[in-house]
Amino acid sequence: MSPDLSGGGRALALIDQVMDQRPDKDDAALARCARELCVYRDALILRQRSAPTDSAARLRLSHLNAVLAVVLAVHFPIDAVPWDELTKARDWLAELCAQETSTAA
Amino acid sequence: MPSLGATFGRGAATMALWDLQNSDCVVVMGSNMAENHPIGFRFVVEAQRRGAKLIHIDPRFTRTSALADIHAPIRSGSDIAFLGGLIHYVLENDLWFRDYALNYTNLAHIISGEYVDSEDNEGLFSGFDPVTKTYDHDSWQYQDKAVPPLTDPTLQHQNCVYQILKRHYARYTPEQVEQVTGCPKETFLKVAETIARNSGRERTTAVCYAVGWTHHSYGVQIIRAAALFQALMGNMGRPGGGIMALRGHVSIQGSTDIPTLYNMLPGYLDQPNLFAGHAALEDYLRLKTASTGWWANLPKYVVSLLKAWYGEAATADNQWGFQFLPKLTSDASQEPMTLSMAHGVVKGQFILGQNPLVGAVNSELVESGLGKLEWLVVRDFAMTETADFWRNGRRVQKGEASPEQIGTEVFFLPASMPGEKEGSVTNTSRLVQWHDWVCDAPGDSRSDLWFMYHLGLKLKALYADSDLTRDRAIQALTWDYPTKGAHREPEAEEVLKEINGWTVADRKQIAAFTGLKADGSTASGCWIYTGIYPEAGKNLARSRVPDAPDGPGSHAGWAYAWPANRRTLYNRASADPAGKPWSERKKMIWWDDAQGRWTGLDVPDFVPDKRPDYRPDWSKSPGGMDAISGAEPFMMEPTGRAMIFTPSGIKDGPLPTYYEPVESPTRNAFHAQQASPTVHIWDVPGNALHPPEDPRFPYVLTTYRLTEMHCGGVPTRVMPHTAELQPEAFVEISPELAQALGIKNLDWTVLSTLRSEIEVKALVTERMRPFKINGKTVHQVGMPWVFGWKGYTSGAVANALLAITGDSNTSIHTTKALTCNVRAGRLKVDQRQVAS
Repeated sequence: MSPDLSGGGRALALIDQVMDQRPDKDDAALARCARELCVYRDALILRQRSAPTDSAARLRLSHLNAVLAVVLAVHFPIDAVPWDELTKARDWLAELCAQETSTAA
Repeated sequence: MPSLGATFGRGAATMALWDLQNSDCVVVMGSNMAENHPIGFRFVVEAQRRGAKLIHIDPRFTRTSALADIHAPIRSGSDIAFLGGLIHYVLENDLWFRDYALNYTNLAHIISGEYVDSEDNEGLFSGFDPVTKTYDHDSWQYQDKAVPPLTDPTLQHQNCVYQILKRHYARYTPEQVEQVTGCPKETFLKVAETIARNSGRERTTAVCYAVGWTHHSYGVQIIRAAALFQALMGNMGRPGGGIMALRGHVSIQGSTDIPTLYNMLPGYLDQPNLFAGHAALEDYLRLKTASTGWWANLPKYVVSLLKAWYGEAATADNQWGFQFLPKLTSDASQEPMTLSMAHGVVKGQFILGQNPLVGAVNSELVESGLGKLEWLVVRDFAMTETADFWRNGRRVQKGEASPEQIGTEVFFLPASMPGEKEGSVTNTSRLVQWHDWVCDAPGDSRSDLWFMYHLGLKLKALYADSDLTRDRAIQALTWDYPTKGAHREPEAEEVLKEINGWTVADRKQIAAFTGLKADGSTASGCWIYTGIYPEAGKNLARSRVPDAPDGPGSHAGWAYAWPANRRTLYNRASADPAGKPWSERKKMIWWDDAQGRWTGLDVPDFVPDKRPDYRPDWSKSPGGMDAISGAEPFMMEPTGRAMIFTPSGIKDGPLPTYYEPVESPTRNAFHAQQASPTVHIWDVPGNALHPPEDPRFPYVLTTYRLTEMHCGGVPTRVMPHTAELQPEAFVEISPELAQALGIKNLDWTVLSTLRSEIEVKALVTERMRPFKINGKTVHQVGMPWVFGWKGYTSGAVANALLAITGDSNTSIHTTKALTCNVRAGRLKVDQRQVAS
């Protein structure tokens, strides 16, 4: 079974939706975004397990975990909502998705 | 207990259970102590035998009420209105302990002119951001942020804490208390008069509470209200006075001291938070270390903890291993994690000593989340509903899920019972008691210590060859406890030795936390426990030497109470500013001028040789304990005083103010702000809330435990002799409501919320009474939450009805005050819960 990498693109669109709603916090979109990131994460894990020595794939998984951590931080903030970090995380995710596109091409 | 921490300096019960017998008045509120803490309650009974008054303030008439001198009924969730009424009463009638409160609290401190009280702003304090629903605390600080704070001992300054307090509670009159809580004004006044009569130089009152206070969307503020009231009345740090936080399980106190909580490190050190600037140890220490008071010692405790955990791998060059610690980025408490499970974020879960399918709110959402996990490990000594969720869960029984669809791999591992392992429990009095191994557990049952230790060994082996930075923490972790026996059981006392701490160079046990250092020369797993194993072969938790009948009564030879084996926290406050006991009858600690030391009936909670007339020389910018005078007993606070007003440390306001529960049958009579503005609400499918005054859900629902059922019920439901004592689930309904709904005793009823519906038999009883709230009758029903589908006794899971919400300080759920509907009859056959 080939990994389903489409979750990344959908998550990116949802982060954009969340950022458009700022400063209001769109919990429903954040929940959907977390789900899509998990779909993407599962795909990267699958790929990592099929090629354990692929350090680039491992790095991509690490970056995706960082994105997921920030999305959770916005969904469940301890104090103020970390919007600036979400902006950065959005760019990381965009970069990851672009890498997937270029790899596929 | 952030409320007790913010008010007094430590988040723990301030007195020993047995000291309740020295109380002149015991107030039990937010607890059914006689039934749920029966062992501790004997000291209340002894106090009564000695002439004390017992007051029970509770929605239900329970066995605690039956033994009380006064039972004051209040609607669930209206506690702050009642406590605010008490504060109003003693202020208006000048019944507070002036000499105590003026000297030992921040009553005279002057608050910033930018501060706006919630009474002047429709229930919102200054600094509120309506978008993020959080407060900026800047306007809550002392005027000019002066150190020491500016004061007005005459209490006339309009922005001194006393004047703010008076204005804040001006509307909490006995009439308003009756309107909001439903407690008759005459009963309320009787309570207020009784407490006032039993507080002061000669007499003390104690307050006991349990999760009846904590399990609200503003639970921290309820406890805050009681804390500041007790400080005002001079009932802290004195014999028979204090706040007895009754912990719900045998070692819950221990599990916050050495925490299972996501946001704390052992000894009440904050877990570093990446978004709070804690990326490096230097920054963490700079931001978290207080300049004045005892917490100026924080670096010693943090570095010693890192040395205990990471040993030789913790060096000055690598910030003592600070980067091995995970850094917080989000709220990772139980409620967000439950929701995250359903979203697929969480892959696996260990459950030890819990049964969330019964004990966690919105149990069907929990069940849905468990079904999304890849793996689940449950350790218990009998099959629990949680481990059985995939086969007989509520969603499975209702046809909403099936074992074939659930991919979670469940591991159920048998656990040892207390007599089958050695170790310690820390009870509600901060008392750490050692218990010995008695016999081997049957079959494959193992202790939790065995499980964690061997799991750790396997993880270390798995990551031993990794060259990834993120795996360094597991590699660096010291995990070298000696084992014994065929099963290689770790030596529990070796763990306790590490918790106590030792000098790194020679592994010599450290006798007191004053011996800990920030230079890497000492290691300690939990600084507040230092002293429990002060020298080789001396486990003070094992000590069992009670005082003789004519002894001091602190029972210092019985086990070990943190910190420093003190039984009563803040006991410097038992003496007046000059160091003399407030009265002979209530003496505990006093200054011995000849010896130049504090002495008395307990271990002094103060610098042993600091004279009562010591005053800081502020011209020299003193720091740490040098900034605390000899007459300021609350030395964990930066000012050495109890915080009537909390400029920092509490997220939802510097003073408790009244809000309705998130689900309420009535409007807030105090102001337009209906519910706490900072409460955590997660609007996700399956977790809908009822709006205020929702006619579909007109009744107040509260949940509680039973004496006969322990914790989540399984330990007692699987035992025939305890199961038969509570043969089935029930809902308690007043005769008035039963008549209105056509329900007779033992009839089936259906309870419903937007989360779920359950069926349960009615127990029609006068223990439940209707209330008159804001001019209309409000009915309340109550149901034990301890039933499930496993064991000899089964019954509906009450928590299926509840929603996931969170107190803004702790994210704790609301289980004591929500709304529901009740109807006569049963559910459809396919919706009923079946025992298995």
